[in-house]
Amino acid sequence: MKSEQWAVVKEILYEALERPCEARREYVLQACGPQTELAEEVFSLLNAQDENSGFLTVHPPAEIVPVPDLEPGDRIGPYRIVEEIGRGGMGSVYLAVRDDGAYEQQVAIKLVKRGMDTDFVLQRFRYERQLLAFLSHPYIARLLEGGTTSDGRPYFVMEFVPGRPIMHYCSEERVDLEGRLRIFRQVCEAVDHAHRNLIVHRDLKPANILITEDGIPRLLDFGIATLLLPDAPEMAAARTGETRMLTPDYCSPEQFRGEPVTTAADVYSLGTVLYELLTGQKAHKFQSKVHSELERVICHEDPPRPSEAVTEHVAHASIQPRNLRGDLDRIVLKAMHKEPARRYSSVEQLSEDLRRYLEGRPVLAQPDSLSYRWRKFVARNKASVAAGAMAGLCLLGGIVATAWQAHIAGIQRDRAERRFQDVRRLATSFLVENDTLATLPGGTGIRGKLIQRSLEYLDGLAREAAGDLSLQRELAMAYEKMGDVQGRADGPNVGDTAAALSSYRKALAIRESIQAAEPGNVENQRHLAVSLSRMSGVLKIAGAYPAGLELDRRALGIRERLLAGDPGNRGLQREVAASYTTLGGSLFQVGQWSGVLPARQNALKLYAALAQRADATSEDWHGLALANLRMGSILRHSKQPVESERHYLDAMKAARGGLKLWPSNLGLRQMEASAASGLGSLNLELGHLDAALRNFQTAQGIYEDLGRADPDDVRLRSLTATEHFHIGRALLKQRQASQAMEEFRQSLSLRESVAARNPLNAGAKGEVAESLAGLGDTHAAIGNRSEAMIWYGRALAVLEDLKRQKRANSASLTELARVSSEMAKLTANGR
Amino acid sequence: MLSSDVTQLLRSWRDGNKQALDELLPLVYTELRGLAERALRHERPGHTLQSTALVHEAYLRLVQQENAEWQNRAHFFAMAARMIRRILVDHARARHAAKRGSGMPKLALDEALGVAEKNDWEVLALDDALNRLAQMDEQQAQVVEMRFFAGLTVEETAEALGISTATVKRDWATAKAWLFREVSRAGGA
Repeated sequence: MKSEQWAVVKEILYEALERPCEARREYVLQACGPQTELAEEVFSLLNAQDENSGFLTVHPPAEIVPVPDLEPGDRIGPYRIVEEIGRGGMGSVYLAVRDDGAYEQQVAIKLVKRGMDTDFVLQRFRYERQLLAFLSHPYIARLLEGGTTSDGRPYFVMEFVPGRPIMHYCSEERVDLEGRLRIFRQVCEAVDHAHRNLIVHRDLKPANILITEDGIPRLLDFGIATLLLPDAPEMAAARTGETRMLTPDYCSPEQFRGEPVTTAADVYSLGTVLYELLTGQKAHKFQSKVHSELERVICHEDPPRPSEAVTEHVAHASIQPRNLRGDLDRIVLKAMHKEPARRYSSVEQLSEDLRRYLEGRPVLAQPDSLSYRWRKFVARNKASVAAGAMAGLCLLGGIVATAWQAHIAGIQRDRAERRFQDVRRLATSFLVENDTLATLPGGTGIRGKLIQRSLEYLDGLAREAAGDLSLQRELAMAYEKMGDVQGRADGPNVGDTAAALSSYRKALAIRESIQAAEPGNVENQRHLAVSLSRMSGVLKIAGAYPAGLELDRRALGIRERLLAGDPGNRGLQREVAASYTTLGGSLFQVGQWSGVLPARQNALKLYAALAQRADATSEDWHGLALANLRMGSILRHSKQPVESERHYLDAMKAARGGLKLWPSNLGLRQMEASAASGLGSLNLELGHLDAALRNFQTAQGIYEDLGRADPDDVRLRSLTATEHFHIGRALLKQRQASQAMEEFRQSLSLRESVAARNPLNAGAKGEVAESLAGLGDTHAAIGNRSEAMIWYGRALAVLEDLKRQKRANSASLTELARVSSEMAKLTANGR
Repeated sequence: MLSSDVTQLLRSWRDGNKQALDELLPLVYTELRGLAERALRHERPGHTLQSTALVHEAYLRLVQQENAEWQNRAHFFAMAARMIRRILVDHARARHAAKRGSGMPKLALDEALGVAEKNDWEVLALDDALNRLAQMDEQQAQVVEMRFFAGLTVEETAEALGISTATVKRDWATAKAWLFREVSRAGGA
């Protein structure tokens, strides 16, 4: 065929292909007119098209080929490479020595493979370094430093651990069942320590668990996965899926699906390691390595019970099916439950259950109940049942799936693009409307669901549109709002700090990268500061006070710089004021008293100016009330009761003034209660017991009102608990011990429920201890010496635990000192 | 091989210097082939790589990353596409000959490129058909090379060839139909 003829054929063929199948024939006949040969040629090509769906299929880029990059003798920074000792999805590991003359230190260097986003990894490293610095544990190999090679690739230097992977060690040393469980529990101890420091491993596997010649486990690569694995969408272009980098053998279902990863993922991975340790074979058995098979096994197939899977590999350790049947079967399967919520809620609990087994006591793990299995059956067979809960969003889901598929296939691209925009608009509007829910009573639970859904869609879209800054902005906003619902420090939330931390971390990472892409953009910087403050808020809840303080300082720095460039901007004034308020709180918690008062004075000055204006917003009034409240509190602590009272009254005035204008505003109502509570505390200190009781009861009434309207909001529950505690203290001073006891008990049970729901919340634990100590005080007051010692002892245990984990704030430390001295007094009196 | 050289050559080629391409081709060919062979040595048996991954890796290795420009990337991939095609065809010929001769050659290079399921004959038939397509419409044949052999997206292909995305889509859709018919007629698909 000649070029000119082909050009005509091509034109008609393409036009025909663009039409639905049934319309093609007519179109071709019409377009070709009397040229029957031309028509035949086009028909022949159209027929070929119908059958060739798999022909010349374009595959997406697969995993990049690992090729060794460094030879013995090469240098990285001050280190000399000795040899390659391992290779994984994220890069290669080398044994290296530091030889700058004086001494030789062996280290392991992990060199990140090419194709990972260098800037992103390093930025994350700098930011996570603070968290990693907390991670000092005898069973965890230390991360020494990180840097970049001359050709721009990130590397991490870790302590070199001479040892064998746990499976090799146990089989070569013929470690018996009990020995294996003992080693495994030490591994749990290390992982639990990391979790308490907010670090999830994300890549636990036998190769990362080495056992030294002394039989001591050392865990490798803590924090590395979090540094390297892209859980933020700006990495989507480089992402080939977390699962490609992680070995699927130990990967949890949520990781496989690319969902947010929490400590529950480590519990799962530990479960798979234990499975292998006890049976000699892997829990995940794949027929092939194709995606659908991996998904089937990881996400849907329940592994056989360990007792039914025992192989001859563990025979020498004299592990027989009968040893595993029952308790150990249940423990392993509970740890590796497909649903995170049905696993052990912490690694510590897994380890405790193993201890119970070793001591011959009943274990907590129980088989799934019949009703649970029935529900699961229904869910499996009618996937739509679950999704049907929110009909509107289901529709949205359908559109997304279609848009996505169309998008991927590269066919009907324009239409896909339009749908893509529709979905994006819809998802975004859910997020925006969400804000109106935030200020309404009872909105917390619904907000969570709406945001979760919207986020899933945006996440899916982001994978398809990496590099689209405006989409990334929306995504950052979505993550931030999700974090707000999960555990925002100063707003209604459901109290899941770990999840909030993960969402905020994503939002922050995206914002940092947007900021890097457009450094001059003021809006980006403002958003970045917001992300920093939110992140700081949850870090402090989790007890990482110094890390939180550092982020607060960064946020304040950004905001002050922006305000200096635009001094009349009221939005920026508000943000600076908010930053001072937060900074004051952080300084208070780490005990840097001298900085607290100036920070609070700055906040007050700014809010006073803002609230004075005729067009002041509810936020300004709220800020003014809060700033006064905080002033009242610091002055009360520094024994200036007159000044303190003035500020508490000003706080009350601001809250009530604001409520006249915005009667249903939750934040202002809460300020009113907090001002009453502050006044009560002041009264109590001055010995005005009746006034104190009145004020505490006012506060409690308001909190209970608000809590009834929004039962999902844990913050209100904890505030209500605090008022019970205050009332208890006032009653105790009035020598009404039995009533005081009742109040302390109520505060204790509320606080325990808050703390149990959120194991990461350090402040909540401190408050539990405070209530325990209150009961101790009451018993001591009525002469029940031994009872008092028991309650004090319980309080002491909680507080010392916090102190040991470096998660105690100044209030917890003060309480620790007080409880210790009360106990000493009781002991002395008893002699 | 200094990555700055390749970057320079790419830039020069993009600016219209045809000679730069002649210098680039052997470099890229050697690199791709070397990568495929080294990858095979280090991979477990049965584990296949894909040509697109290989091209990405070659690009990362050859081109200086600090001043890697998007257009350079597209041009590099365009060139690599031709190289992959050539590697596959050379290999298919060699193995085709070997099958008739003395057993299978040891190095399954096309397996490394993720096209093991295609028989050699099909690769050769496709190559032949592509040559004929190039005679009718050279640009269209280039579109196929880039989309299929290097895994470029529609946008990247359009960028590399300096044509609109609409044209790329049209060329791709119609070429697939035509090639399929030609390869089927030859008994290959």
